[in-house]
Amino acid sequence: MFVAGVGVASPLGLGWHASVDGWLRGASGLRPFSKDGLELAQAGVVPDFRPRKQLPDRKAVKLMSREAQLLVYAAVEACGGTDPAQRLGVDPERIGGFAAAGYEVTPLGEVLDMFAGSRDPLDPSRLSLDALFSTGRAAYNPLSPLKTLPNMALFHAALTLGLRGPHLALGSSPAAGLAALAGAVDALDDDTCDYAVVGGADAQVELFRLHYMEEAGVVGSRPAEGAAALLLGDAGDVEILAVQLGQEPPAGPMPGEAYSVVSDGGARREALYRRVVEQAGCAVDLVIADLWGLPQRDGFERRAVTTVMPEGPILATRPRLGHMGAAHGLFDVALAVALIQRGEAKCVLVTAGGSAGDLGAVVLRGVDR
Amino acid sequence: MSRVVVTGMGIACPLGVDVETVAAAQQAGLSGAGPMADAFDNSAFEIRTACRVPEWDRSLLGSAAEHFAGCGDRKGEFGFYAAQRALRQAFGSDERTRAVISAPTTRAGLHTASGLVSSLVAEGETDVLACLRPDGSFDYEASLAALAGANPRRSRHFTDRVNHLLAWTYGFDGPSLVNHGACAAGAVAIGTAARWIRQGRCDLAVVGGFESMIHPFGVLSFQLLGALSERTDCVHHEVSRPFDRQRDGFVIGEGAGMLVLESESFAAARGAEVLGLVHGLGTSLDSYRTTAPPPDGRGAVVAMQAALAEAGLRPGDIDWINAHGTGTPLNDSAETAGIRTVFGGRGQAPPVTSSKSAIGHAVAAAGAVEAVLSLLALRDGSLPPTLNLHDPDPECDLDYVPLVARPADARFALSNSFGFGGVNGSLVLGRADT
Repeated sequence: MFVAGVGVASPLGLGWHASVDGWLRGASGLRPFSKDGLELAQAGVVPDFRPRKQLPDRKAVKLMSREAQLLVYAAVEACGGTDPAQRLGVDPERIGGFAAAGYEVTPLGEVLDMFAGSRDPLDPSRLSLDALFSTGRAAYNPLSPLKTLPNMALFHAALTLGLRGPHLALGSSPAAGLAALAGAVDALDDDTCDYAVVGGADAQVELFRLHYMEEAGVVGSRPAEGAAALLLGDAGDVEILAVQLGQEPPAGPMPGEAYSVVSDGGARREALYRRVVEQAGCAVDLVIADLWGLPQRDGFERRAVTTVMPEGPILATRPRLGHMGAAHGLFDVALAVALIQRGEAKCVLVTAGGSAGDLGAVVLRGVDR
Repeated sequence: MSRVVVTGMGIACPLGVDVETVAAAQQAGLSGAGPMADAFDNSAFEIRTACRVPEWDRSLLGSAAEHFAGCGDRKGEFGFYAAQRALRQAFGSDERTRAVISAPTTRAGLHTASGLVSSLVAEGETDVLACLRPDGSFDYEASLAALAGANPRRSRHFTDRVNHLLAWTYGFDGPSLVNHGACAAGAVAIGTAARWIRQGRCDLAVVGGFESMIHPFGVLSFQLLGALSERTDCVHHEVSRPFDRQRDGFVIGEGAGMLVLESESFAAARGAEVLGLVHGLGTSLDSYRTTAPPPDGRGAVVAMQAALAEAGLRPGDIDWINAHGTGTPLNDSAETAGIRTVFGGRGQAPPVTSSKSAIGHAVAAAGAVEAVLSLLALRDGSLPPTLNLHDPDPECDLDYVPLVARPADARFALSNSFGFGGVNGSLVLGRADT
């Protein structure tokens, strides 16, 4: 399985090359953020992103959530345009779409007017169902439910690119991007499709999402938005050697607890990384690691990584990008592809973990010419 | 490549909360429809009917109930409950489940389907209304104060919560995914996990879906999309009318369906009873419109053909189709067109049933609940009926098993699930002896 195209929209830049160039020159994508009264000391926002000018169908932009807009941008870049079937000379039913996107919390802006119109006239602190189904409904943009359906980022990317093959639409875990990658690799292996577009997108810089991140214990990273996409096929100069998925044992019954505490000290992480490297059969010389700025979790990760690469550089992207949620794992893969192509590494392990203790790991290698 | 067997089933749906009750109700042609007013005061809302899980009681979760207390996470409760039931059927007890799943040599995965989380009324009051100024504008300072306190309801926004709790309870260590593929999600979760097992990514998996959107914000969203039946001229159990000329939309449902899947060799080694098989999955993207399929059902055709290919079967091998069959005007005619393309017209295509005529549309859980219903129908040798089909639409001209169940020696079933956003999934399921 080979990487045939890459697309990125990240706080480091709009586009894969801009993002990589920013990374290589040591730039940070984190800046003070202020909008509509929401003030953040640091957040990662994609710079110069103007969807109505930069996406192929400007009329469709208003139908898209921020995640969808970002994913469409990255997917079009990865495919080198809007019609990969024609460019690649394949049936669109043989190109699949596999995506992870963050949607658990409906963006406040989509529902605010409806809530305002649903207040009980006698007690504005209470919702009135009579008001909801009259003035609230009238203030609810019918396009809003469509924007927030959980697979809409994939829909818009597929519609823009004309994809009609197999699909997988996954949730917002940072490991979900690697799970989407695993689904695509399996589909290509099974000959279910000839090419696969794999994407991850998230937009965390929004009040409610920020709050839920905090409640989940993601206090080590700054919030960010972004998207990354890959076009996978049978030719390219970077090969995906192995993808493995796993699950850590949570230390408690609530999802957020997995961000900082697992009950096995990272043993399953270690076993997963050994397995993926063994399957890949190459000596890893760089790891882009699942490091969050959370001391205990990061300790487990570093220890697990050193079992498969005792010496060598370990990169962490969150300190300079923030936490891009469902986009983060695939952003790290996109960075790995660039570093391999530029000769900075030969064989790279990328790792990712999510709020439920879900794990993903992928090994990529440059192709000898 | 190993075959994938089903060794446990769990269900919570409008026909009941245990597998045998549901199996009997589906064969008897019972409906789970009732008044929406049982869920909330809908006196100002046009939609009158919903298919709710009857007399749901969180205490069915046993000691796990405490983790859902105060969360308002009805769909998560359904999901955990159905998974728990499926695991107990497969392994006998929670202790034996933990012993098998946490054994160092076992790789056990999770792939569940969950839909969009809509706000609860109470949550809207504490998290949104408390932050609105009198003119309706949003006060961020007030919101920071309102959101600062811990609130167990917010945990329901993690759609991976059921996976997390299952991993914590039983020790799963394999792949763990939450599928957000809209109304196709349950079917895709099952079929994708079956592939994991065939490809050696894991030995067993708990798979399925859970959903509950029967609350004011959930049904309002579907109504705005024009998807719900607004029929009021009949009793509740006659509202859902898939393939009927008078169909006008679906009836909202809820519930969960969960399966334990194992590689045939893993199940055989521990002497497990085989309840059925997952033979193949086909998926496709319509790339057409957000809420409408192409009239020729092309995306459905691709999904059904891919499922048959993965199963290694021909169209003539399929004995029965459990249709997506929502009861919306566009879906039912497009699905019929797709079935005709793959299987031929009436007389060639196998009988077709819409379970949604009885249980409504459980959205992200639909494919999983209907997979359980399909396996039960194959086991019981009787095709469940499509209820309320009195006046067939000329565009829907197949054999839909109208009104009453039909005895049949059916070995293979195809279960269709199609979703908004043009995501399609078709599962090929087999009787235990296939």
